[in-house]
Amino acid sequence: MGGKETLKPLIELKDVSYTYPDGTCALKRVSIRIPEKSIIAITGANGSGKSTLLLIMAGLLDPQEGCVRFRGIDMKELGCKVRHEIGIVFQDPDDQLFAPTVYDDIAFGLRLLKLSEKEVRARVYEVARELGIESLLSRPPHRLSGGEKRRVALATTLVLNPPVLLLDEPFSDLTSYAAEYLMNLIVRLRDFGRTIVFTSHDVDIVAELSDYVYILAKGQLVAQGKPNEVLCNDELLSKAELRPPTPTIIYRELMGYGDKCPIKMSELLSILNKVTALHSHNE
Amino acid sequence: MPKSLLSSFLNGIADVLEVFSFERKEDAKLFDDRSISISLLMLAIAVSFSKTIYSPLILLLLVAVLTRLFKVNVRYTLKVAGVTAIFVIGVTLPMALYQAYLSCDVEGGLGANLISIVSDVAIPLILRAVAAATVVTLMAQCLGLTRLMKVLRGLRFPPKLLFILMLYIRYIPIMLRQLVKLLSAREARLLSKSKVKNSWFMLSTVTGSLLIIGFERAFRLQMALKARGLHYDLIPTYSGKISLPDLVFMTLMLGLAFVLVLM
Repeated sequence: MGGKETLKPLIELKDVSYTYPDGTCALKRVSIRIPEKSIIAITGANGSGKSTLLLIMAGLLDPQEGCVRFRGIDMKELGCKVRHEIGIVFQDPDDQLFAPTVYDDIAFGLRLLKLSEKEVRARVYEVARELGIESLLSRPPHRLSGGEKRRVALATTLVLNPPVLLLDEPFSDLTSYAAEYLMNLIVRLRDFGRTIVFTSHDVDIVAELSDYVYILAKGQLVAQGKPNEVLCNDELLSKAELRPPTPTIIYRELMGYGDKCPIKMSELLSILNKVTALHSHNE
Repeated sequence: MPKSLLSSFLNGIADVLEVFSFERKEDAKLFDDRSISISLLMLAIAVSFSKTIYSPLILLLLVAVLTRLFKVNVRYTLKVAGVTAIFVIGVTLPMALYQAYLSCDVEGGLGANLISIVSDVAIPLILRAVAAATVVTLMAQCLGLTRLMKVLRGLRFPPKLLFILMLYIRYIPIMLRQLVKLLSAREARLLSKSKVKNSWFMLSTVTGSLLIIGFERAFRLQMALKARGLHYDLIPTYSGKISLPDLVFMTLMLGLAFVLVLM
């Protein structure tokens, strides 16, 4: 993926502002371009407007100012048609799960598409197998653990096969093993041509996963760019009340400040291996 | 009321109400959805207006047979029957006691009057309510929520009303479970051991929070449903054909409903 100018936008938000009825200003003139077949991260501190931005992108909230375009067409003109194109997984899975069994919840969207019960069953089982939740299909969603609920919530959206997937804080409540599994799944989905936008305040995950990063602070866009350009910039990060990724901190502790800091654990390990090899060669 | 009992009660009610939101696949169905729903609805109405104790008993027997025939889970029917019985007993018993007390001076003692009122009025009332509830549960289990809504749409019910009804059926158990969570959170903040007084105090303080949380939750649930492509006009009209076995079944059931009213 290239720089900002070369990105072909699938979703475009231009000068979007949103204020909640209680007067809380969630977004102030935010402009974002989401390119196709990429993983985009939106990061920032709590209350920075990440979730609101995602709801606007999904067409679930109408911005008071600015416009949202999907494939160049105004979202308002598209209306309900956009639901088949954009899937969203909410921050709290309890908001999304309401059917008596996990199977019914996953099948809900498919039944609305008036598919035959045979096809519904096949697709539900396919997604359940993919996410490792086959054993949960007959259980009521409210009896599941936080991580299981999150996977079921993801399945309810994935089953509809939307080209764009919006994930609101998908890694909260997950164990490190489950988070790694989800990260691999997101990468696989991108490789299959999906566009994934996720919000997270975990800079390490943003660094590992994203192709492009947007940083929000108090409802305003403070930075955007490739992760290795943005996430090493202490000044930008401090504006958003974020800290640099763990590999960057370790690198700086060991090597001092450099021009190109590693942001991924694999990058740090590669540097450390090189340094160790050099040391042992000198000895 | 100790917290565990209150929570168990609310969770139990949520479980019971959830029976009505189950879905059932269309494969291997015995009769047409319309004939099942119309017949069972008529039976429920008939038993509600029956005069003797025999009508609800006959209907309960029929429900047992149909439960076996339609291969539905008897546990759910029993759950609903149990809860209905508890509610009706809770309402009728104080009324029976009061009625017995009023007529105490006129004829006999309190005990004799109470027995007479319970056997003549309360028991038939309880049986009627339980029988009607089990028939409705059987219908809900046979068809499942979406199929039932399709049938009602076919009977010219307004789609918006059906959509609201569908959401209500799905949402009330969620709200009850939310209430249990709120109560548990309040309970956790009590420093002393939970007492009956504290439980009642918590119940009174939780109402406002529940309303606000319920509103917020409803808003987010609405967005989640919208995101998955739901629109109130998406409940399709039922389009099955009524065959000869359906007609026979419906005639039998409607005939029985007529007999139950006359009995």
